[in-house]
Amino acid sequence: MSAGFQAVQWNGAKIRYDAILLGLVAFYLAGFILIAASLHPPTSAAGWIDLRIKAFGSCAFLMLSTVLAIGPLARLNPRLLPLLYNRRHLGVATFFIALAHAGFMVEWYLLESDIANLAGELTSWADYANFPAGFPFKALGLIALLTMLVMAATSHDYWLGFLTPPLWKAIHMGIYVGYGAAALHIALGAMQSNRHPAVPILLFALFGTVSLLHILAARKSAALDIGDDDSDGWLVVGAASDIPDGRARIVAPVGGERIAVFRDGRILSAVSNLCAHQNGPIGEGHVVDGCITCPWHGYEYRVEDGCAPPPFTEKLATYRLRLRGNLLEVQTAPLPPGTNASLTLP
Amino acid sequence: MTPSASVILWGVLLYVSAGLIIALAFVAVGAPRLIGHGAADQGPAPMTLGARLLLIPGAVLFWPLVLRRWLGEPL
Repeated sequence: MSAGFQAVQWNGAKIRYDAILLGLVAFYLAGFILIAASLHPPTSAAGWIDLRIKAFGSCAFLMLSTVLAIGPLARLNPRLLPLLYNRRHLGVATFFIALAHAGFMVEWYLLESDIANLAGELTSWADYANFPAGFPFKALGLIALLTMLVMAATSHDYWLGFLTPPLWKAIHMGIYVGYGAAALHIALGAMQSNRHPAVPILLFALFGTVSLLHILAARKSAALDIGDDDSDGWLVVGAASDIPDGRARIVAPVGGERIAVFRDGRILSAVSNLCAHQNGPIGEGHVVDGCITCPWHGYEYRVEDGCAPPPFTEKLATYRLRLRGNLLEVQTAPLPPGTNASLTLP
Repeated sequence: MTPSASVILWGVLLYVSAGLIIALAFVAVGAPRLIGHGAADQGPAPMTLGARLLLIPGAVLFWPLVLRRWLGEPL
């Protein structure tokens, strides 16, 4: 949480996460280069650079696919939430691997004394109309790299506060444009120069898996939405006793933001389902010691008023609740963040 | 190099140079005062040197937004 800003708020879990991440990346790169070099030994300096381009490029796409798969996987199976906890380090590492891939490509052109041709390739505007055969696929790689640069450069929590969560989230949704550009970059580049069937199979398997996981997670989230918007602006949540103790039921008015209705013993409260940190699905978290805890990064908010405990300053918008007989209802108009609107059951 | 490649390259160079100057001033002076955590009444947020250095790439990329906020305009 952000009472102040450090470069990285290290803890044991993050150190273990990063150590495993670096180990896996090193294992993949070393394995790729060793196997490829033993099967088809490069015969020149340019050949070795080409091998590194392929190793780092494939590693970056694999990592980017993993980054995008973690969100829906964690939503489909909460046991995978630890993967999500430090996803931003995986994202930043992906950018550096992609940057190395681009760097080796520039090195290749420098070695061949052909760097002017690289700029010429990217600015041969007529070729952009020649899709797919003559399309400058390196431009697509550049788009993907620039997208990842924006994500990595604004990954620090400071930027979330500076840009405000909605704008920050909108910018970071750009990663899907980057992922599409990266997939096309491979389809029009590596897949054309290397006719081995493994290239399209792996490309479509990764892209298809990421797409399928997003569809499944979206269907699961849609299934959580219950209740019909009443004409007087109140939404039926259900019987209060049906909400598990320490957990939430998520409801959404038609076309409105999701609302998480928590029960902590006899106390009921309704807060925005978007965590003030990274818009995580706070309604999928649970109550720990009187605080709603976000499943993504553990940000905490008091049940009664949606305020982070001091010295932290984050606040969630809250909503009024009322009981009509057995039925619990929530008002769809949000209250100012941090307003105490909890309800105590008799 | 083609003329259009030169124009793009010079454009990028100018944007990044301006961004670097603004970013350095921003992380040295402005960053702690401009956080948007709703804590204006609590003064500047404490910020380590490492955090300031990590903000430089983002400030270079988004220097027009940084400048706008610094001059008191909304985003």
